[in-house]
Amino acid sequence: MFTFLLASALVASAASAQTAPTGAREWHEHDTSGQCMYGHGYADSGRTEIVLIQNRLVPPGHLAWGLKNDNWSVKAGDVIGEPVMVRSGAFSMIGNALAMDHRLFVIVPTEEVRKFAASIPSEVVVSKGNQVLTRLSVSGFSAGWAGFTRCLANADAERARQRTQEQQANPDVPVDPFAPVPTQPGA
Amino acid sequence: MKVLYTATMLVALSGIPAKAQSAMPWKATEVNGQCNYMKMFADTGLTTVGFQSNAALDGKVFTAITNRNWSVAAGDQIIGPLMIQTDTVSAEGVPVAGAHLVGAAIPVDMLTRFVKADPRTVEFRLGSKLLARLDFIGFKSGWTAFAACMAKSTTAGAEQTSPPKAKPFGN
Repeated sequence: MFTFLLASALVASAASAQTAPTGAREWHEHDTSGQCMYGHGYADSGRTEIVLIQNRLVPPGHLAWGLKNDNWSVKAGDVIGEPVMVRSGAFSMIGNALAMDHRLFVIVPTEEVRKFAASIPSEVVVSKGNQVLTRLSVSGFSAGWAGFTRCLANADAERARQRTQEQQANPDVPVDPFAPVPTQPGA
Repeated sequence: MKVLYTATMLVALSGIPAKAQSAMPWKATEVNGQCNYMKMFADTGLTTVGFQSNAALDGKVFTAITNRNWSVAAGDQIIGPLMIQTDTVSAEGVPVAGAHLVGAAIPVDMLTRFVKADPRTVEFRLGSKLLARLDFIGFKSGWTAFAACMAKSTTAGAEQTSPPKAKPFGN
């Protein structure tokens, strides 16, 4: 169902190149309206990029962890049959990846990335199943993390404000009409 | 090691421009002979309404509404009908549940009447339960492309199933 939603999304994301980091860049944060990005560009032959994204299309409390390499032949819509793992020392995150042109994305809980930042990682190894995709220096990740979390906090506050407005505009529309009805005390 | 969230289609939107996040217009598409018409709304639940038509639906249009705040899941027993309505016109079908989604196959004639009324403030209801109230601005004008896609598919299907024409002058 709704494969067309994905198609629409992919078309829209094509415009993202101008906001995404390109080439060698230090860890940097974008705070645009309704969207937080935190990324790094590498000066390797594949012009590798790491980018973490939170916008309204990523589930609250989660980040889209994206990895791009111009040498990768992966295309939008490809099925990645094996889980993708991001590992640094004893710390690891794993998830099913979504493919785009030269890119993979994994949705990870923000809290896990927060722990990752707190571990002051110096290198990550990204693998697909048993295959190592890349090994990247991430020194500097933790230093820039604070600015990104401020953006996330602002986005959360904005989301809460919008939800309040929605409830005020349509008080008879429940946030979750399928939520279990709480039982009355003494019932 | 923890097994984390499964990537979904939502991840595809890497750095979608902020402007596009706030308003996505009604959009008709055709994918592999299937006609689609959808809009994603800029609310916190990321409400999405979609219409889908293909040969298997046999003259009906699968109409679905999703909201990521909804706890409904595939296989849930839901009591219908699923109604899409304004003050003056409505269409309905037997509901099915999916992850964060409710949908129903609605006869195309019923939906066509609904569209002709140029609905603006539209409510989705499950029986008497109000699910959503949405502004359908631009809905009718965008439907034209979806209707054309359905008509084309129907014609193509009829050509495939009709018997071969006899050669008027051949042997």
